[in-house]
Amino acid sequence: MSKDLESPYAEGVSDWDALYRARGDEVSATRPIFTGDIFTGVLLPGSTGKTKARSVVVLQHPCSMRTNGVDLAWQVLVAEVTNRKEIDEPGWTDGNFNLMPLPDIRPDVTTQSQHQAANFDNLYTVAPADLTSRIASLSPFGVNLLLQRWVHYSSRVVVPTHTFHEQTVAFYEEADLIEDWCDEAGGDDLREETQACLDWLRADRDGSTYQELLKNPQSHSMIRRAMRQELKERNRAENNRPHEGSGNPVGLSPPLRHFE
Amino acid sequence: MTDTSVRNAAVESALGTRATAGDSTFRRNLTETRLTPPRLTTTKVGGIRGVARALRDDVDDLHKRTHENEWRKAAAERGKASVMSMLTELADLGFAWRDIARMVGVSVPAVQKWRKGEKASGDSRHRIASLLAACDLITSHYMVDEIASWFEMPLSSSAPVTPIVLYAANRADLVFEFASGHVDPEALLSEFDPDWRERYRSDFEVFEAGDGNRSIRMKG
Amino acid sequence: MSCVREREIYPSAPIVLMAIEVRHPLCEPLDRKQVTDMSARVKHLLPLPSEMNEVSVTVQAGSDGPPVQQQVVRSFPRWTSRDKRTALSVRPDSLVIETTNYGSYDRMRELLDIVLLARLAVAAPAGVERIGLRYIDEIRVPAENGSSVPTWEQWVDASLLGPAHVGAELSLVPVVNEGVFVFSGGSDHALVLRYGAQSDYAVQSTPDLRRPLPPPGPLFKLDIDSFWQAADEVPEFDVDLILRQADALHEPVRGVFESVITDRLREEVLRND
Repeated sequence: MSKDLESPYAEGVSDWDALYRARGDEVSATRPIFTGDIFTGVLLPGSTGKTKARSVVVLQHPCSMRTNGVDLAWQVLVAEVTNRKEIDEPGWTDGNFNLMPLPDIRPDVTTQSQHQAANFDNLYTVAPADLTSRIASLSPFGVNLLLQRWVHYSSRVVVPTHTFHEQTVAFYEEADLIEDWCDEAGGDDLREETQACLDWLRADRDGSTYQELLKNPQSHSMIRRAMRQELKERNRAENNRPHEGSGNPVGLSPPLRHFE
Repeated sequence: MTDTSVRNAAVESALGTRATAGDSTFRRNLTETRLTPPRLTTTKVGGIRGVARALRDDVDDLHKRTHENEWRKAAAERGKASVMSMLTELADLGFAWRDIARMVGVSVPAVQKWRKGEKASGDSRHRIASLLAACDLITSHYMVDEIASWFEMPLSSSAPVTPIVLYAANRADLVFEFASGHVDPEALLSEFDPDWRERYRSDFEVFEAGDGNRSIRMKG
Repeated sequence: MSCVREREIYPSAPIVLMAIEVRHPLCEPLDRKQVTDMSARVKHLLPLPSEMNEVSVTVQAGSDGPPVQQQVVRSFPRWTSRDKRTALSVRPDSLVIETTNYGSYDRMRELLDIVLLARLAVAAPAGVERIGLRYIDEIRVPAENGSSVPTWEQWVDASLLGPAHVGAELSLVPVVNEGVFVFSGGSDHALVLRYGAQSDYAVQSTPDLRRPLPPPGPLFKLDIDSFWQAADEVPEFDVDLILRQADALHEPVRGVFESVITDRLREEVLRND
């Protein structure tokens, strides 16, 4: 028995909010760039050769996006995102295979740009430095739906979103952890804070690391608790220091600023 | 307000003036369309009777298992704390912010704003308190350690439905039932979604590939 | 004023439980063969058979001395849907269909039709004494202005809120209210409306009949019981008669509901997905 492509419809009712983690100015600057992030203002040529600022969605699979866990690969695979009217349920499940609809991506407007879609026929690889203005990030469901449609378009194979979820949940969790860490640490240098978080995740703990353990979803809550504890201790240590710049306690990365 | 000329048999029975057949059986309340017991909660404010309650041996056990009243009281208690401290407690238990947002029925950015001190609406405060109270109940009644991890684990290896999914769908009744261990998890899945077997049947599986990352392949 | 559209089905209807009860003169309880027959006739909609016990207490005047209490345990057959949200109970003196997944009257009517035909086929009761439709709603609305309790007058008709103002000068704070109102319809019909602001759930969820359980919070209960009671003559247990009577009982229910809610509730809560 074959499976259909899935959609954000449930019992005939659409739930666009379920696709997104954050939109517009609610998108957190501390969140690492992730599959499904939508950026504007990327200068790219079109089919007529004209170069202009375009919107794109990151298609690169989470596991291949970074060289070392921190730095993005020198080129990131993206698809162009343009205005597109809302699509009905059959339009999701039985058609528009070259698209990932992004309805209500701009909930604050009622113009044509309120609803958009990514087009897998218009692919680019871009330098990470060009990805600066993020206007939306997707929920786990949104990311899994994007992957399902992208993989289907490339191969005509329908893989259920829950299978993608199993595959990507560790990466999504890691992105959440890094975002939380950077929020709590509150430093100015995002790259530095991200590195600090990864150092903590990769620290050897009796032959394993928390990053390794992330592969097992059952360990996620334990790792979250451990991270909160670690951040509390760092903040305490920071508060106890007489002044900035004096000898850091062993094991901590460069000084953390207070969260404001 | 009505005079006798417009009274009818139905109204008579509603008003109880037409007594049950003259023998001295226990007076049954004829006024109501009856439901199989127990169904309605009766308000304890005097005078107004609820459903004619047929006594039932294990009625009290059922009440205890379904926990509604206890949940309500516990949530009211929990709701006295500030939103920020309630959120901190949930995070300290190990819940992910995205799952807290999902179960409270708001976006992740909304939760992030509350953490920074922005005011939450009365309903959101109720919902946050209710989640914390539900955790309290499950932990104390059913000795669940690591409540956040418990919420994240699927009911059955055959489907990705977790207590988080149930709770977010307003099926706390099934969450409490699952915690009690009295009902087969797959039966609970059927109660939640009778089509779950077909919905989650998959030809694919996830496995650890040679490079340590997870890949997808066909089963079998 | 926002109008009520013809037979509109609200995306966020507050209905929690709907039941149809048909009472009749006492029959023999169904025997095993009859239960099996009944199962076969309803299994496409209610595939899970079970049994329920009911303990009732009778008190009889003693010949001399104190009244005598007797406990009687009876069991009756029951059938539920796979999600345990719709159930049929067949007692010796009544059949009850209950659902926490109402959908629409048409859906329940169809189920009633099938159940009545099945009951007749298995063992016809001698007549029909009472037919009742019961609707229980839990209205939940946003609390405003940082308050933890909604201002109910924004959402339901003020007549349902009772003499809340009475306590104002006396340092008495309204906590719970519950009211009852009985209406007479023609031809031995009555409609009983129970209503009130409370924080208890109006309907429990049990393993026998489940209901979705939103987080606890203040709600306004509407409990509408629309029923017909046989007067002097007890008519035949006829499917068409019962269905027609059910239709007639359903008529005023919607009207009563619409009359006691405000446009604001309609627009901001009920019509919202």
